[in-house]
Amino acid sequence: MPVRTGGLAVPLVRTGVEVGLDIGGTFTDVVVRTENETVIGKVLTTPADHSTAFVEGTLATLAVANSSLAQVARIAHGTTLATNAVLTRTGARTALVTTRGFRDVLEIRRLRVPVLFDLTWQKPSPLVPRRWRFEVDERTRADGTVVRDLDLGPLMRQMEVEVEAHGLESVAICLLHSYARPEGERVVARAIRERWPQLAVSASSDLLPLPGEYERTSTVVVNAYLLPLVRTYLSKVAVRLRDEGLAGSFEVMQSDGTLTTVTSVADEPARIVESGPAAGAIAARVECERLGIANAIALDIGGTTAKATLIENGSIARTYDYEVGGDLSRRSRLLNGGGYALALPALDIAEISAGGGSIVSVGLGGTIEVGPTSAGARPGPACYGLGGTLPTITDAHVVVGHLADGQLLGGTLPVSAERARRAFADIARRLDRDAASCAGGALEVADATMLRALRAVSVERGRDPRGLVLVAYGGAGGLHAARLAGALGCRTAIVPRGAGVFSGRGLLDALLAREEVVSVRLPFARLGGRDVTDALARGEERIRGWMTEHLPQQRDFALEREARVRQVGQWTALSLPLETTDDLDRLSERFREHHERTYAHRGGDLPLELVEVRVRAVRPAASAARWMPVAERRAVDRPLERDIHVFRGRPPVRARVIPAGSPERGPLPGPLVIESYDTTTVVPPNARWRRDESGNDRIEL
Amino acid sequence: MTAVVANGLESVVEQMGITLWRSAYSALIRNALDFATSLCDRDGALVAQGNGIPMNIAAVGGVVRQLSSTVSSWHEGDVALLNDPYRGGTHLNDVFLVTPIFDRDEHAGFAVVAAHQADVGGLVPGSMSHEATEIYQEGLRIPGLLLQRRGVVDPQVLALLRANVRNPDQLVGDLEAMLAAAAIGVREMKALLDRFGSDVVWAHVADLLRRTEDTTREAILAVPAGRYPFEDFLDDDGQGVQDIRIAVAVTVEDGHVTVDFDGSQRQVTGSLNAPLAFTRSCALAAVKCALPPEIRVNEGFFRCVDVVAPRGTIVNAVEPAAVGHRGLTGYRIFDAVLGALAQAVPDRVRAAGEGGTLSCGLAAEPEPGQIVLFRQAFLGAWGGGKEQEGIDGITNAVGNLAAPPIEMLEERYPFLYESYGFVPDTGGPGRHRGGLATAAEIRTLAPHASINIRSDRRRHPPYGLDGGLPGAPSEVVLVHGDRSELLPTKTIVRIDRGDVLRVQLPGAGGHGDPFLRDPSAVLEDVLEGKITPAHAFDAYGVVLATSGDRVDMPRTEAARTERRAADRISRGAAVDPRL
Repeated sequence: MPVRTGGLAVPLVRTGVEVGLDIGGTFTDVVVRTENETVIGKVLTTPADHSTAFVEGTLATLAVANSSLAQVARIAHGTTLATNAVLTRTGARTALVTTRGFRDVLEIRRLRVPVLFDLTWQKPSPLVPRRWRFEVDERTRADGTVVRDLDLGPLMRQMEVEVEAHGLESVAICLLHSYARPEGERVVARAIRERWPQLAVSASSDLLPLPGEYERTSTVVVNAYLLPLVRTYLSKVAVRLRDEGLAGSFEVMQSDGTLTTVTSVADEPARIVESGPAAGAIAARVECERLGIANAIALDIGGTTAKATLIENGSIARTYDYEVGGDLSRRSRLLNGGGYALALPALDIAEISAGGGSIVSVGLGGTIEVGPTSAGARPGPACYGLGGTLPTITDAHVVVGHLADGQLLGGTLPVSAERARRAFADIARRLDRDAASCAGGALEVADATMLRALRAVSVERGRDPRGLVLVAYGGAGGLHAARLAGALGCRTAIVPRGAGVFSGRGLLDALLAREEVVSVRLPFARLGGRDVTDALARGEERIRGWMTEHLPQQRDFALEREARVRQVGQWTALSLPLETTDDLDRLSERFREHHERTYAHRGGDLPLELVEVRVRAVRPAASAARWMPVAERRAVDRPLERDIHVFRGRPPVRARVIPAGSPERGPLPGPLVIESYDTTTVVPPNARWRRDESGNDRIEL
Repeated sequence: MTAVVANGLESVVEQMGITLWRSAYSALIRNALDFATSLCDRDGALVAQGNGIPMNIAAVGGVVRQLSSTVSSWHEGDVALLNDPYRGGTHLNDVFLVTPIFDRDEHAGFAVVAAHQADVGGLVPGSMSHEATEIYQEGLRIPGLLLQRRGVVDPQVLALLRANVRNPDQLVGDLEAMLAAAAIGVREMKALLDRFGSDVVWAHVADLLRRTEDTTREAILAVPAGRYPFEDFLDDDGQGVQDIRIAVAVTVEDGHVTVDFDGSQRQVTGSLNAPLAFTRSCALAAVKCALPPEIRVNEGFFRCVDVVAPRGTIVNAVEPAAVGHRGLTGYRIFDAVLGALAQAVPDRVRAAGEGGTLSCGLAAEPEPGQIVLFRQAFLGAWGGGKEQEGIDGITNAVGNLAAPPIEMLEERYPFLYESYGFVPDTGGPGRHRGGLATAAEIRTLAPHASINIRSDRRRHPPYGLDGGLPGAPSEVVLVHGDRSELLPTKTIVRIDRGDVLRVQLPGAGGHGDPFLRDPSAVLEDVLEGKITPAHAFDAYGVVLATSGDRVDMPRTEAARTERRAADRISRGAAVDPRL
């Protein structure tokens, strides 16, 4: 049931109602922003057909806001559909066309495995089986010169047999060095489209014109694998929304935290794989900007995983190399190969398998272990009474009193402390301790695991966490915020207003953008002024082409430029902002500074190499104000109290409870439990709490 | 709480590893993760190790103890170096950097970073050569000295290092990255000590080691006691010594494992000799694979395993034997110990994988006077397991190296890859098929080039288990026009423009009787082009229908029955595994 959480605070200039809608594994979160209020809603996700929860959740939340689809200027959407299709292997029957001699690149990958000392590990099977990986006779070199001309005949004859016989739905094309000469892939794509108009076709040089044959092949295969599914889903939603009266635009969140048009996603679904986590990180960044916080760590604690992101000087670092569908139990960032490589821009988010649903168990040697398996939505934590009997982190919070016995989500979700305690009985017996002590131990282990994600984005990058503010959100963010901030050495933790629907909020805060990459790969010594301007011009030209196709009405865009630079001989590059007036000396200096900040040394005097340039067009924000923070309307007349265990092995302490909708704003000393519709926040005895003007809960340690 | 401290320690070594990985120069560190980051206590006992190369698992403690005897008293900010394989190191390329951790004024432990340096001088670029016959030819030896005293780098030491290597800038760049990683280790370990208190942390560390030891012992007690012998071979050392035996007997008794290499070949002329620290690491890595993966890697685990190797053998070389290519021997030690362990824990061990990298050091002169060099290591395949299919196209479990992008290699070097992929029918037949061999064809574009090849597993292909058969042997062929020449396993060959070098790894071993392989799995392999219909019949007794897309069951059953009878006659009924 949607609830109203805000009233008019600041008059705004806005063109209409906006809807942010994020579909997760358990809940579909809706945030509706009208001219004078923000309304949030949470409905159960409908896995059989996501468009159902999408449309019904939107309509219901709009109704609470006294609005309708006809008044909606835009809908921004985040979804786990693409990730799930890879995880559950439910994408299209996909073929791959490669250069002769290289069809096994997809399966050989980069060889490395994500686990050490375990010979029972199995490699995930490739998204395209070998029999549907077709080779075409052709060869281009790294400089774009043709060694052997393309011979389409045998390829077409082979596909003639296979396409119909196996009901193929989608084709990925990746030829060697196509980033240097895309013509070969275009010829193949055209021939396949003409002969089989029903097939979806993705060419690697359109999606990712960069060297690295495995990464490019894997990326275009993921794209082809997702294409029919995502296209069908989005067009179904779009049609239903139009039928219900939507005249505004429909936009989708990409992995890099920017929005794109629904027509563009229909061609490049590989760009939306990290849609949900990206939206939450964007909300955190925007809220920090509003609060004047330059440096922070954003932490999203969901049901299965915790995701950490570094916000530095008001922005979030990006990565160009990650994996989808990897084993979530992977504990080391050095070991990859568990999933499918994607070399598309994404926000740099460290994900670790610890969340509310993580199952608690006793490991070898009698230590408490948490995860990596999660009870998920079904059977869920034991305390929800949905069939789960194994203890989870959510149950641990109930046992120690952090979460109330009774109900959550404004009464729509019953919670039983008795069930939670029963779930811990077996562990308590085996360890010969009481349930509260075991639950407390499980929370400490979960904290330690989540700390690894937090450290991955701070200490491992050479950033000192003591100067950072921790912004925690997601269903369980408030429960761990103060504990983790303390362990990390942060002085302030913020649980933002609407923490439980933060991704939905980020969707409305995000900007629409298009990025193009141009591969350069020249040492500075051989780089003429023309090389850089030519590369930038090529990127801008591609952006104009995209605009014409997907956003013909949009006139004014801001252009951002970025250089990726490394030392000759190094394998990974650093991203540096690039101004059109920059010369190479200035770029060199910027590289050394960045290198020193990241690795604690300037990196010697080796010559530098410009790897690539990236050009990004960004649509200006629709409005400056982002979130209307006002007290909840539900009045509560009496203060509550309950016992919570804060320190394991010591007696519980009596904590005051600040209920949802309370006018109390503090400052107050802990211990406190702050409740709201979508999240619960625990303030330990050694900390102080206050609610700021925006409705965010701030904890000072 | 012990779990919290253990996670804290793991986080420290992980952060050290990330720091090194991100800022290092050499491809070996970047791509191959050829390094290890560790924390030791004051006495050199390993308390936590990061996810680097498994081959380095156990060398650290010995290095720290050796250095502690060289450096009489440690001060905050000291950093020591060692690479001498006869003083705890493993070969000259692996440089160990050790720095003490001080908690207030008390020496609390060590942060250690070990990383493979691209070049440390010696006979050939890259320092490792099968032509080296004594360690003096293999590069600069560092017996243990201070690179940095109380926070100040000694410029004379740095000058000495620079003067002895072919790529001083890269060496110094990598050393800086190692220093940064060690500094992160010290800083984070101090933060951990501050957070929980030094006494608390060290008490939990002791508890952690004890628990790891208990857990390991419990796991070993679950393994049937007994003595499990096995032997495996290296083809040759490239200097005339052939069929180099690695003999091993694994004894499981009272919750303890002893790995004894008695009976192994005497040390050889070439550079395949392994120092004891390295042999011990590879043997421990194999034992680790045979036990539940939850067991942590620290001194507690090491206490439960003894490694014994007679002096003067290929697995415990004595000065001045050359050791540069001991990596290949390490792979074979791993294979041999796993072969022994397969008898004890058959469900955790697979048939042999490809047996180590097939490496090609390519050197070309695209323009007169301009020399380019790179070394490519090809891998790999995993054997069939009791419950698992083998794996086609994968790294070796004791090395975990990655492959560099061919597009980047072609851009940097004058070579063109004609193909890179699987070779059908090369996986060892078994109920679970061994992984296929991977092959690559490399065409030379420079007028002249030389290729330094190190291959193996040609005379002794990867073994099968439980009735499974060996994988196909490796092969290195030079194609010169219409003439093909089979090259020796280890050689340096000069080639001309247009010549094609074809390298083929061995296939991995199969597990279980191939005639018990599910015919539908055989059909799937045929449809995938991973075996031919002829091989399906020859190796598995499976007959396909004429349509080629289904199994002819009656004819398959008849063929299998007939061939079993024939086998029984030829092999003798007593050895038929099905009886």
